[in-house]
Amino acid sequence: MDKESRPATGFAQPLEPELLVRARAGERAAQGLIYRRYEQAVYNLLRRMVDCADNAADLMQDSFLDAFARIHQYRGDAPFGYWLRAVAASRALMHLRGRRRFLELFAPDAEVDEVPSFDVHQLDLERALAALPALPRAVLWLYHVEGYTHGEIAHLNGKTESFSKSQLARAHQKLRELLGVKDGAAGPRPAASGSAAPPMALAAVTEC
Amino acid sequence: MKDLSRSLQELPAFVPPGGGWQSLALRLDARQRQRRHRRQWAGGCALAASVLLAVVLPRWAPSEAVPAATPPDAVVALMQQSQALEQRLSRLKADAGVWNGALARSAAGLQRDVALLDVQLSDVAFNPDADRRAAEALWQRRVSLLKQLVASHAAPTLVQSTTPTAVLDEDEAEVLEL
Repeated sequence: MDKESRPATGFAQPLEPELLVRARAGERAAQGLIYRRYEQAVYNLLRRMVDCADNAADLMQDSFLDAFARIHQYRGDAPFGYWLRAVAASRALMHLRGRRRFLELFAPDAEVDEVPSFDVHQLDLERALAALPALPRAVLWLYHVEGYTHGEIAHLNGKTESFSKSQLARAHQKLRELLGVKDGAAGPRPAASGSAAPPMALAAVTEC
Repeated sequence: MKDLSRSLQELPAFVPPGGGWQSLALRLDARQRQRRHRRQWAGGCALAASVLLAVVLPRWAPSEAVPAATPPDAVVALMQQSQALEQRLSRLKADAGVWNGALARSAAGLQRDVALLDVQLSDVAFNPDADRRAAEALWQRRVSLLKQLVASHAAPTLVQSTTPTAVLDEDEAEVLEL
């Protein structure tokens, strides 16, 4: 997987140094501009990680509050959006940890070296994502979409790399089940989207 | 055959709910007021402590006419230590942006204890028959409380990250207050 080729997300948008200085000084207008610039990216990340609109909205507020409170800690080593993304992802992971609904998922130690291939309709994938357990889904999103490495995910979570790998493996396995993709194969196509029901019960699971 | 990453990336983005900035701005304003209030309170405490020192020090200064029963060095040293701690506390309060809720409550309790001690010290200062050992004990207690306050203000300050990755501890998830 070539992470460099991934299309830039909203987090990659640059931030003018002058705007950063003004926001650091607590200027509300500058903070508002920053909020609006990254709002979409932050919300989408959180919405994907927690799969609940209300929780995602609350977490977005908390993430920006954290970010503005700690903005003096941003050193410019990476684009501001990526720093903000880490703040938001930390928030989401803390939220998930706080719910304690995924403790039983910590046990598995399996690792997956190869990224599975899927060819599914978006609707099926949306449903499957919604049906995934919270933490594996969050790890899946951070790894596959945001481009985090296992080490970075482990760091965000305060866990080991094997924890991240096992959560990702679990997410892959569950996705295969939900989408009807056989293990190890390039993967038979799942049921044609829009024609038949998904192979498993893929009714959206809201977690609010 | 698309890989999973691409399939996930191609999912439509969610649209954030409206009015987010307005809500956030209100919360930022509230935190700013709260922070200003804390600073004013800290400034008041520091001023009170300074006044107290100005009143108490001359009374306990060595007098040729009335030699002290016990040398005031210990008390004076404690006062100076107390003053230094007050200054450090003031700096920490100005720097501390992120607070843990439990620690904030604990710090508020300590500050109340310091205020009570100051009342007692004030009584001692204006009482010519006051036992200097009692005063020393009170000052020792004040220094001890201030040390705890300094520790509580230094502890919750988030460690600066050397990487763009920002991690919040579980405790910090409780309450993040400016």
